[in-house]
Amino acid sequence: MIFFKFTSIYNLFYKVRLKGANVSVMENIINKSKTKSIMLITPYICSAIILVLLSFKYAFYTIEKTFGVLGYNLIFSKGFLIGDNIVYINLLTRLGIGGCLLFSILGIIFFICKKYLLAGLSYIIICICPLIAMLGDSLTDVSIVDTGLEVKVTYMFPIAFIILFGFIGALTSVLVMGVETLATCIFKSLAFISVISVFTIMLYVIVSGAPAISKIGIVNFLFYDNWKPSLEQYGILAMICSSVAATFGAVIIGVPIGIFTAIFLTDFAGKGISNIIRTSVQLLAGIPSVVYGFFGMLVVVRAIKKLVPNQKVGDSLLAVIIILAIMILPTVVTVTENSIKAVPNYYREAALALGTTPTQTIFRVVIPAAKNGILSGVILGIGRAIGETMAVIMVAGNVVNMPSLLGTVRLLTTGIVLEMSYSSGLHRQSLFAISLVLFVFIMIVNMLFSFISRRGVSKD
Amino acid sequence: MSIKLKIRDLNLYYGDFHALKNISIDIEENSVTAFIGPSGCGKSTCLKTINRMNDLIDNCKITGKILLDGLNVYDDNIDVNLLRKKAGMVFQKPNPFPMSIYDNIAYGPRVHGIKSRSILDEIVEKSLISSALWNEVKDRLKGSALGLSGGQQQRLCIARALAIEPDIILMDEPTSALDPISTLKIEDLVQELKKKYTVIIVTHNMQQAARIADKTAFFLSGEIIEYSKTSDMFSNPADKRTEEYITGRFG
Repeated sequence: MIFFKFTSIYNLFYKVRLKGANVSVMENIINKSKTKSIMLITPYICSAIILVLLSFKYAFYTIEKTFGVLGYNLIFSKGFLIGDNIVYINLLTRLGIGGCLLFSILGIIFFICKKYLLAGLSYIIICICPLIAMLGDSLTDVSIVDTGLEVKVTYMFPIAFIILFGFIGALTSVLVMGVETLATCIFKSLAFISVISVFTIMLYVIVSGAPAISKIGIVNFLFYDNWKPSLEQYGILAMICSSVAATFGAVIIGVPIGIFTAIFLTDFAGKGISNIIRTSVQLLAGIPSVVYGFFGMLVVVRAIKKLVPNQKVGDSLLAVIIILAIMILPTVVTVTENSIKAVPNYYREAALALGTTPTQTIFRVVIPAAKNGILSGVILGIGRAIGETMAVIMVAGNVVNMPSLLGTVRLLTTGIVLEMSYSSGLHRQSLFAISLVLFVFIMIVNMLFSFISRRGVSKD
Repeated sequence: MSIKLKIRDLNLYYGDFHALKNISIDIEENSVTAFIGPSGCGKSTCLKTINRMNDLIDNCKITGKILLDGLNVYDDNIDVNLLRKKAGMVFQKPNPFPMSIYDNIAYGPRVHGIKSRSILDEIVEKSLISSALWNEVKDRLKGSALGLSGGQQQRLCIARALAIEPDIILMDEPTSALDPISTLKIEDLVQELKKKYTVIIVTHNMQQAARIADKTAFFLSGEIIEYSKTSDMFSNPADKRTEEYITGRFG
């Protein structure tokens, strides 16, 4: 144990230096650390034992009749046979329960081997395990709905307790190593929350979306323009194209406006007017998207209907583009303004001293120097535009058409929302698959831009 | 020698603060003039009034005359951008743009309307040769200017100023952020530059002024206390305060 090491080191030290003069004080300190460690080990061992026991608890599956299953059994059983139907227990559920058992035992082993950090890590993983199990359950529900059976899962598997004791275990195992290490660990684990979230979402989207794609066929799904769920036709090409067109249009209109606003704010506006503009831009960011939708319905859609000759309905791709362009403004303005402000003043001075006019300075020196920041603003804007649902649904017309500027369109996001409430079976799964496509889109956009901005840096 | 720059009764106020008081000074053509003095005495401010960089500061009020080749730079008809083209400036901290070495030097000429690739190439080479940097960077003109050492960056900034063919070069403590070897190179360069240009250099370093300047002006609290040949000032200062400063009793 760790305090034995301390004792020997301190003894050595004091034999040489103090020759027994103050040993009693030192021993006091050592004894304190000893009792502290014992105080910590007790809850650790307790929580470890409780966690192992919890993994053996019951789960109830109510499918026509109630089945009581040991958590332990659940790990090794594929599912239930009910009549002619096999109800599969999702692999994730089994993994979640199995992981909990495995890591609580591993945690004890690590602790005995004095690998405190690994022990702590094991218990943090235990905290995540119930969430994975729950994820599996929701998928089980979905697959059971297909068979026409009604199913209810009740756990005697107490999720809250597992998270609690997992947390206590993690905390105490790291506390043994001292507060400083604990602090580092807390920072690290909190920082990893976003990473974990992304991976959990990714896992969920892939697991729930992939089956539909494999059933429909990836080519039929992505490259056919025939979305007719009632006829078992699931081609989403029109939605993909509409989403791309809407986002592209919003960026073409919104980004230049945003960048010029930011330039005006940083370099040309007086204090009063820049405050007015900045406040209104921030206000724009705070407006809920449904309000944008209203504005779109009442103003933009009507205006298009009246201003464009022979236009019977105003709901159109153009309306979507205008609304999205306004919606991405705050992001683009704020990020661009900050990155322009971050450009060191001596670049401007140098440029002006060379006889450059203020406008030339902005476009030839300041903007190129701030381009990475501006690009990241554009990425965020694209992210917002591609994922926007509510405002779009209210102005798009929502008919599945290939995009044309004045025609009605349905985007990927609105496609999911419109049909989610009444869909079932393959139709429902294909909606999950659309969200997978959306996810892949956002990943591609992010990677593309991080590639561009990284190349920009190395070129400098 | 003819007079390149005449400053007459120059007063400058930052808000209520009277930063420059009745400055009058004549700068000779093709010479190096040093402005020395303790911190906050107005020497940098005085330098910046010459190419009107003080215009960028709010609350800055200027009276008096600065005649560059007989033209008042504070005249309403003066094009500030052309003035700054005539009076190149080198700053305290090397401040190359985050671009390639070539683009840094070509920046000025491009802004002033030169588009021809061959002319730009020529200007870049000429400027780099004049700033004694050509041999060190000729193989990596497309490389980033930020990859150069501090001393090289400062010589690049000088080259950038030379590329727009100024008449007069204003240097605001150009060596204060550099190591001794780079400093020496810049000082040698200044000696070369005065053959073609008029150089005004603000410096904190009295030895530097003694080494490179033909004439030296001593600033104190916004006034010029003494302005004379460098050798005279350092061997036989006329004013007691100058003597105290250059012998290191204050400042």
